[in-house]
Amino acid sequence: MSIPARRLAGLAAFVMVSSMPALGLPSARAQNPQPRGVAEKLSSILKGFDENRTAEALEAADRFEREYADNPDALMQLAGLLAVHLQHERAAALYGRVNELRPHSPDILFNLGVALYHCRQLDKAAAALAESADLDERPADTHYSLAVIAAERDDHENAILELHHATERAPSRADYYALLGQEFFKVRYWQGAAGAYRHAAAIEPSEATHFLHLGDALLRFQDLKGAIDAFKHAERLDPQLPEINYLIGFGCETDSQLDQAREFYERQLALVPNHLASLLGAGTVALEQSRFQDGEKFLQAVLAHDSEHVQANYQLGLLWFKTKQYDRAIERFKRVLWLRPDHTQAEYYLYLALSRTHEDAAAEAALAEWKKLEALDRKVRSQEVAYEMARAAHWENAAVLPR
Amino acid sequence: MHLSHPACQALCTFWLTLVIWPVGTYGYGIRQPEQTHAERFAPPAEKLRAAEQEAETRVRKDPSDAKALMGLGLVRLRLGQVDAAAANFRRAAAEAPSLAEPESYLAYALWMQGHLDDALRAARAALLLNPHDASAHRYIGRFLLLLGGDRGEAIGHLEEAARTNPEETDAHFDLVMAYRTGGDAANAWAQLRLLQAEFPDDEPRVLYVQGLLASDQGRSPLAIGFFRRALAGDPHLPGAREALGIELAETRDWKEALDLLGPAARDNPQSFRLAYAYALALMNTQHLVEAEAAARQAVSLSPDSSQARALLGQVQARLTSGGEKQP
Repeated sequence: MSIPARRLAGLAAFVMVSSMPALGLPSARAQNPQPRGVAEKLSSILKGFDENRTAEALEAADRFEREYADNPDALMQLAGLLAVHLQHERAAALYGRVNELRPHSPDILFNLGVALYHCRQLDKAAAALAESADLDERPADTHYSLAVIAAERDDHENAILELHHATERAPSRADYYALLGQEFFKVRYWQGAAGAYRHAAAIEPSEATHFLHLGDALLRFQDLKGAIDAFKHAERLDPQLPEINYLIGFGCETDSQLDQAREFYERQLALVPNHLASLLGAGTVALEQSRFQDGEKFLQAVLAHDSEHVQANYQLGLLWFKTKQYDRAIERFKRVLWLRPDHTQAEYYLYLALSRTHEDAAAEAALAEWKKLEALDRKVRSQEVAYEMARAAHWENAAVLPR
Repeated sequence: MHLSHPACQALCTFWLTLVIWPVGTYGYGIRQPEQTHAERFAPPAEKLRAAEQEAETRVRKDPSDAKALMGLGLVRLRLGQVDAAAANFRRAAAEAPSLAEPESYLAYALWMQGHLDDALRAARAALLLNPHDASAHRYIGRFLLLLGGDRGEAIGHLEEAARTNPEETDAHFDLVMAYRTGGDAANAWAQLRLLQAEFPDDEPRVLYVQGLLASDQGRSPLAIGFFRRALAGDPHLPGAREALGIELAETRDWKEALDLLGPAARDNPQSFRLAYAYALALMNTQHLVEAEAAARQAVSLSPDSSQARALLGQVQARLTSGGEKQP
């Protein structure tokens, strides 16, 4: 059972989706010394599982359960053994029985919760784990388990709160920080995500995906140098990471390191010749570097795949404009504006192209339209900033929430 | 004959995603630290029952406590007890006539009860008491759109709601609708940009909005793709099934369109666009008797529609010529 993959937006559509570890199996917490005879019987059941005699092992487990029906320690050990061999429903039932025999034990409740989680009974699992955490708030894995369940339910606030508790108690667990990063990413609090992935990367410096996600988060709030460094580090650790060359290329292009961007886009295209985003990037960089033939080749390749690609159409319009093919540019910018009526730059270049062809009335109209779009653009940007700040303020407060 | 694009402009679908809850308790604010894990992880229904009991206790303790009354009303709203909630808000308004919130909440409850005019009045009353009440601005904007009122005024209120409270991001959904029905494509797309910045890529409502904007451009295959993705994320997303049905009719995928439009037209008998598309799908799948009834319905909803009258005429001609082939 795995936690749902991270949901990404925008650029991250090209970022490899992380797959976080699921909840672990029940721990050995609360296992007291075995009663006489228990160890041998458990060994026999274990041997049955190990030798793939599952039916036989389960029958032996039935007998064991009947024999030790009132012995919570023995039942607890059997439940642990069943859980390890993925007999989650049996394990959950047994932990439930143990919980009846010995109620309000945080450790039993923890194991019950984890077993129920593996049975996909999330409400019951959450209830058991929550009771466990209320009885004993010290164990980090209880908080982490609750966070995993909250994350699965898209209950980001509880997930983040529990992950704060978990990381406070177990600051050397990279997987806790990675899940925290994932949750911050889901709520689009990029600074928080970057901070969490930075912790994860510091704890596990050989894990490429931590650096990949760190780079992605940094890119979101325009820490371009940091993002490029993180992506490059990820690439050094694991050159096979899908799209890592594209990501480095994108970071470099955004940071105006055009030669570097070109190099990495071309590397990505050598691996995946039809990588659309890299074709667009390569085309854009070629245009920036006045390599018009290259630029046209790349952009046409994008449009051959998706004739309504807004940015490829816009860049091609720009290419016609720069090469003084104004009629073609006008046609292209009009197409862009049909596809995206709020495309401010397309409107601006349409105005310029119309001016160059002395279509004065049309140029005036385009200029008037551009002024409107420009104002609209400013408004949208300021709202985006306000939203971003509201999110950051909210999660910064949440991050320091006292117990 | 097929659906003409201008006919599609009439669709103005809204969905309800309002979260009204005392700020700082749940809502966007993180819960209070004294809550136990058991409380925080309790199933929603259980949480609501507990909250209701707590709110009732507070009201019993001081029946004139407006905040307690509002709290109880809000819990009851979430429990679907709209009449009881409205009564709580009315009492709160009477106890604290200078507070805007009770009126604002009452507006919401009245809307839920289907009393749109009264709801609009309550929202306006809230705004008189507090001109910066973001919720009141949002409700006025939405209610005006639903009532077919002044679109410019509606947009002004929705913009103000979004500006006053950056957490009122849902106002942008209404704004997309308002701008697109007003033919202001640039503003509609700009609102989409904000929604895309605020929500994940796979947010069903954002996908739905993208589908509508693509539909407005006549890009049916693209719109169908967005509607399908929206429905995959939320099979009950209001408006999406109907929109997909209509778009499928645009692309002459009559069979699937019919499956979607039949229930939609029954659920929403006042929608001209649905009645027309349903009639069209019925005619093209040779269900001429039902097609005639649906076309008549379309004509009755929009007597001036030449399209609807032409469709009715075409169905009747086919019926007369014995083209009925009922399965």
